[in-house]
Amino acid sequence: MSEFSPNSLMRTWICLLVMVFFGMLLAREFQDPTAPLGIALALLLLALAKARLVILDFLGLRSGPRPLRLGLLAWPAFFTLAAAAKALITAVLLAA
Amino acid sequence: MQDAVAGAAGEEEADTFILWVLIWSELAAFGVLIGAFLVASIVSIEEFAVARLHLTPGIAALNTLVLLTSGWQAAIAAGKGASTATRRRALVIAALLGFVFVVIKLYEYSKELRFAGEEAFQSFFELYFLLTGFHLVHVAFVGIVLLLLAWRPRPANVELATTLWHVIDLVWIVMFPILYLA
Repeated sequence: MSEFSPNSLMRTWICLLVMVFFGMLLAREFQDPTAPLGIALALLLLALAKARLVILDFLGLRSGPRPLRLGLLAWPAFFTLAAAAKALITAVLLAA
Repeated sequence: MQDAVAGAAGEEEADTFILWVLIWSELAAFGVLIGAFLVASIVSIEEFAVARLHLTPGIAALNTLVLLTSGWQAAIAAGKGASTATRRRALVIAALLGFVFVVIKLYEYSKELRFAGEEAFQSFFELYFLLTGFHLVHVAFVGIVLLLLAWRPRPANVELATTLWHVIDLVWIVMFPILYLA
């Protein structure tokens, strides 16, 4: 259960919206499959940052049980890392 | 009296345990599908890169905004000091935004369906529809649960349902760049 005040939750929501808008701006550059790898990595980092805020603030795990918090943070971290590795492999193979 | 309190606390602990078992089984299922998508996109690099151009990331980004706003309302509903009226209002808004997500996603599907039949894009769209469809069913189902809960918002039930809602939100946040962008 979230122990955050409504104002704190609103701040988190605004941070998330800013990240989504920033991601949209980056994504416009990424429509081209040959776009720089850095953009893909930046988008994945943004996703990880959004996931972190949802877990810590919306789910209220900032003050929740540590194993649960770490376990849940590990899930998006694992898949964004896997996606970054895939983006790297794709960039290398498409360039070859 | 003490037995009754201890019994209620034990029951609540059991509910929370079952909830997290459910959540991890959901995360495992989505993880397998996302993993399959990543592997397939390495095996068929060019087909996936071209097929992805037929998606509409702008609509998906709009849906991200909708789902995050819904998650914000769900967090307000689950707040420790929230009144019944606040819980009720926040649950209704969260559920309605969930339904808006479903409508936008169906509209997006209608634009993408014509490309799904093309042989070169078949494996991309099979995985895409499986992954996003599985997620969409979760949004629709838990959205209905949130709406029903708004009728009698018992804090323990609200906490269970909104926790699941945030996890569905989390899955979308991770899926979005993997499917559409990176």
